[in-house]
Amino acid sequence: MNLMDIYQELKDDIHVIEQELFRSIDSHYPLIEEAASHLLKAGGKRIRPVFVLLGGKSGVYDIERLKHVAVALELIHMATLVHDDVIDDAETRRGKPTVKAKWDNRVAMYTGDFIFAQALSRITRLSDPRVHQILSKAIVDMCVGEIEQIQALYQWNQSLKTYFMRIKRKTALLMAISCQLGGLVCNAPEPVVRALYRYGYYVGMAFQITDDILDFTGSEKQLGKPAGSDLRQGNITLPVLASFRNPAIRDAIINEFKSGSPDMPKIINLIKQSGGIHVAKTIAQRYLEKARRSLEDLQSVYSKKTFIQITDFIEQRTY
Amino acid sequence: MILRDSVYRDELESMLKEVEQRAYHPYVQRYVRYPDINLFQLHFLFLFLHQTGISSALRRHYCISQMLIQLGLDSHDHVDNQKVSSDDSLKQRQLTILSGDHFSGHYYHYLAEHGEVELIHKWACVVKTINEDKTRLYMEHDLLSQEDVLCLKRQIKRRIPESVLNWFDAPDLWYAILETFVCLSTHVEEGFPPDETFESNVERLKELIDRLGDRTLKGEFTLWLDKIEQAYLVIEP
Repeated sequence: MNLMDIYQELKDDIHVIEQELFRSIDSHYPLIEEAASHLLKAGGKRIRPVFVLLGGKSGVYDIERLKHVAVALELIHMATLVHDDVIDDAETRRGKPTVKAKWDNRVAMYTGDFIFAQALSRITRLSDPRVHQILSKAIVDMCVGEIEQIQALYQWNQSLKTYFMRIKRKTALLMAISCQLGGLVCNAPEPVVRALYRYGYYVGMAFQITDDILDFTGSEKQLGKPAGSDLRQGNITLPVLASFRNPAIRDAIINEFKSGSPDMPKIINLIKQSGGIHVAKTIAQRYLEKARRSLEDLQSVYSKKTFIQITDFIEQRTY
Repeated sequence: MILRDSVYRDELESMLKEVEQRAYHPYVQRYVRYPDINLFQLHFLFLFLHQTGISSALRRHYCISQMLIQLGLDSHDHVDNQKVSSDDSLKQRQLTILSGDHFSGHYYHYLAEHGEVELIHKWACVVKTINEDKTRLYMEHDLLSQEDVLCLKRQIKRRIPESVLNWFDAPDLWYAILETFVCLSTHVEEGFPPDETFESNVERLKELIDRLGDRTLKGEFTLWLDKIEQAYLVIEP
């Protein structure tokens, strides 16, 4: 089963959101529209819009309100990707050239800023100040998370707490508020809105940890980049930190980097031997269990069932 | 700093301080030089909003949010297409991008905290247009005439203050002051020598400032007029 099969019942509303996404990047300057639609056409899981819709099922479901949140969150995610590809100097995304590769860095900067402005233009069609307080706080935290990720590069002594804070800001926050805002704009009861936030947060944490595991266990074909790329760039993730419980492995990995030309296949093997991958998988599963438990307060049978299917999908994800 | 001579110095400085406290990140500052805040734009908007009679709180919301927006936009102008040659220059580029996003996030967060949803929407429309203009300027720079390039640069510079004038249905005099000042500052920034157009714009600005009538306003704008004139001050031997 893929994600689209899971979303089947939401198909019509997802179609509405797709149309609105394309409408949102309409520009009187054709090139900026082309650059923005380039990424949009490449597709994606649309997991954030789906979370918004499912969150809405816990209240008085209203696609006319939900679509503003769903479109804005997907646009914010897109704007981040366009800029991230410049940060990472990435040539491809979702199998297509990135905006920065097809045009250049400057066009990517303006396109990302344009998309972000359109996201705010869209979300402000909702006047509830709580929506904006939640979303804007998350955006600032996401930026701080990305800044701190750079600060933490090659910081071998960083704690697990630092890692978890970082992935919360980087990935889990936007998923958490997607669920939360869906419930909020449809007037779901307060405890349910809180439960939705928790679900999105736990799933988001598990999603990022799984991504970090796949960096070591996936093939180059599956990942679209060589295995171990994140670590090669100095990004120290949970499997690495877990492997550091063994001081000999820790020293061996750090020494590889100190040599100036780290042997990545050797490092990946060390991490696998250390049990670091197993530890990371166990922690991801704990987050997924917590996500499932968060759903107990939800009254919508459909959204509960779908959230569980998404949780299962993330658990079984191999790339 | 020119604003030290303003009668509104304390209020302006407190706004600058708030921007710094909210949005300047210590780690970014180690690697990146933040863009300068456009002090004329701040002062101009402050003076205009002051004379509209809106509350000081609302005036502050406009002034602080526009500074955050401008800082975000200006940060991304510093991202070039050069291949990075060292880890430090890579880090500098990465942090420049993120600091621009951080400023933009803060404009939204600042206004959201104050419940200014409509203003968030209005600014978003302005930012969209500025990015369209900037893309056009960037892509067509070599195809446009020098006059068209200058015209587009001035248009981009005016977008933010002009939008505020539009929202308040400002008298023509304010548009004229803005336009003339932007012409003069662009002239200086482009490194053009003083010429007849420059001199006539200086005279025009003096005349426009005179027409403001209010003595305090005249004094405040004269600070900028002096600065412009000093840009070409030649001291004879």
